[in-house]
Amino acid sequence: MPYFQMSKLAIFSSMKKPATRLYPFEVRPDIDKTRGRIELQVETCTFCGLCAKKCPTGAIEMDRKASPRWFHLDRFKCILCGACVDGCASKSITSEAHWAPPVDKRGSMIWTQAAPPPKPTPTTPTA
Amino acid sequence: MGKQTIVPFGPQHPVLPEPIHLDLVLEDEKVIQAIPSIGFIHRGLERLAEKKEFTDMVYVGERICGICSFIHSHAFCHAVEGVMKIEVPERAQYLRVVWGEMSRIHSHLLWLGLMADSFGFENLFMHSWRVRERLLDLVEATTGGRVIFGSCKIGGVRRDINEEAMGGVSKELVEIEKMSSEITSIFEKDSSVKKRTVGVGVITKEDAYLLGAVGPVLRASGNVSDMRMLGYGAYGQLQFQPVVETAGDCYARTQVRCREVHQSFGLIRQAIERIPAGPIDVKVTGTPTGEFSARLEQPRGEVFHYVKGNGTKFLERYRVRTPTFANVPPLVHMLAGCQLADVPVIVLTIDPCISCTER
Amino acid sequence: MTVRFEEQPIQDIEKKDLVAQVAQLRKDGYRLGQICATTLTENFEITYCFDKDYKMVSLRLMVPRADAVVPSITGEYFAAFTYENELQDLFGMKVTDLKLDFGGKFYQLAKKTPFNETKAEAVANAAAATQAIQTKPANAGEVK
Repeated sequence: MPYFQMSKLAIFSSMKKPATRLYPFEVRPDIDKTRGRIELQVETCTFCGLCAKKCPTGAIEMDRKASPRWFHLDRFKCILCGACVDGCASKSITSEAHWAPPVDKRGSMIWTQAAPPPKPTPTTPTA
Repeated sequence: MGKQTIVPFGPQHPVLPEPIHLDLVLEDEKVIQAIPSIGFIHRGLERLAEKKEFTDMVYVGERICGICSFIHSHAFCHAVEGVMKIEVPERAQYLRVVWGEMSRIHSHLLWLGLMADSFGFENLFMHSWRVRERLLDLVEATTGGRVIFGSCKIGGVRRDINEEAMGGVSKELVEIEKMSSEITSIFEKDSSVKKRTVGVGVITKEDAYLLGAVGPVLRASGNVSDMRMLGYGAYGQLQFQPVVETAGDCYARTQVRCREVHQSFGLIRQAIERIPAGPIDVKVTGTPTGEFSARLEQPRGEVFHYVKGNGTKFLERYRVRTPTFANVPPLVHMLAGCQLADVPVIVLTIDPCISCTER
Repeated sequence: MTVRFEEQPIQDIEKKDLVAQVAQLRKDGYRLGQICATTLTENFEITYCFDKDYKMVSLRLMVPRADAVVPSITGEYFAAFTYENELQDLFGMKVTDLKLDFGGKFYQLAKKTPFNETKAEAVANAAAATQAIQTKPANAGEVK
């Protein structure tokens, strides 16, 4: 009878577990390709500035000449596009597999790197 | 002649996904005329082309709309590639087709849910969106984002789906297809759906063509017009025909969208079988000079992305004409003469995506 | 496999021929695609796109910005009322003989005619606005 087409679907779904998750007691498992929160391993960063150039919103700022060198990411401007991750030459900026939890104050992340050790001065070869 | 009252519909209404305002001129529950007005979420995205380089505009193009986001980014990339005459590798074209069709399925499932909600059938609304969640998990596993895919770039795509992942995608799609055919069969057969949609909001074949209707609104009145036949992406290599119905009422439009869901599953299967190995992008050098209009088929209809470059990094003009903008005159035509209780059903049947309309 | 980018012929026309050409296109069975306007330094460049059987043709019209008056094509294609009201609201043009004229109320925006400036003018206007904000506090203190 065309009136109760829904009944089969409704009866089967009432006998199964609910499709909704009881968050926060049950958290969604992470999927590894997700473009999540951006994190930086500041020890390996060369401060080349490519990520700041590629960022479409200008969320990344850095100063290479200051001592200590700092890297500033405004999380509220970041659109999680992953352009910085794709462009990084030293693979120090990564995208995690989960999003940041909600916060109640605007803020950004600042990473600092102690100044790198001075380069050895080249000595002229003696004859 | 009875007394006429003017009732505002929107911009806030439980049935509308996005804000549009209609002034309904009523005479005792019958609508005489509907006067639309928009502009509640105008963000001026077209002007951003003056401030952002053309390679960064892909991110802006994607974020015009949340439901049809991938095809907007595909259209922008196609337009710039048309201006600069870039040849995109084959594998990238097939991947764009796969993601484009997944985007179409998720948009139609979302619409089916909203349509059920518009006549109060909330149980079916929740079930449609439950199936859509499964599809969005699959999309996130392949692209990284549920709603904003972030996969298209000028010259190709940003990430690949390898062989083993492709097998996983096919298996998962078989499951999702079974679940969606349960949902679409309810829409096509159930009497309560038919009572609310058959004979409501009729538009004839000539009226739909001359009023500039696009997409399922045009195809449900008997006109054969589907922009995928233009052959962009890999559509030139795939076998399919536009889905056409003749009745021109809300039920015909529902039928067109249900059949398009099944057609999209078939297209993804064809694309996965034929996808060749190879690179996924080419390097882009130079700046665009010239103009081109890319016309693609979104779930809602034909979208124009017009790009004009003048040799600098910034585009001179970027214009998006979305399908809902073109469907507003048919909406006004359909609303004249209907009953007040049918207004939500008719407004939803053109699939209004107002954030696209106002950019 | 190369994707063919289809040919999109553009024809330049004069304002006086616009309605006649559009009427001819309607007799030939074309449907309205879009109406797009670009703000150049001296003129507005308006492009009318029509489509039939997946082939697109365009008509291009140049209108000076100082005297931007365009005849309406709603007599032929009623659907053009949305595009022409958009031309009025966003660009500040005047369209004559519009069948359904909203009088500037189609797009309800805070800033009227936001697209009526080229890139250079937009930069200059933004600089002038920041200048005005910076000089304001000196005057505000004088109000009793």
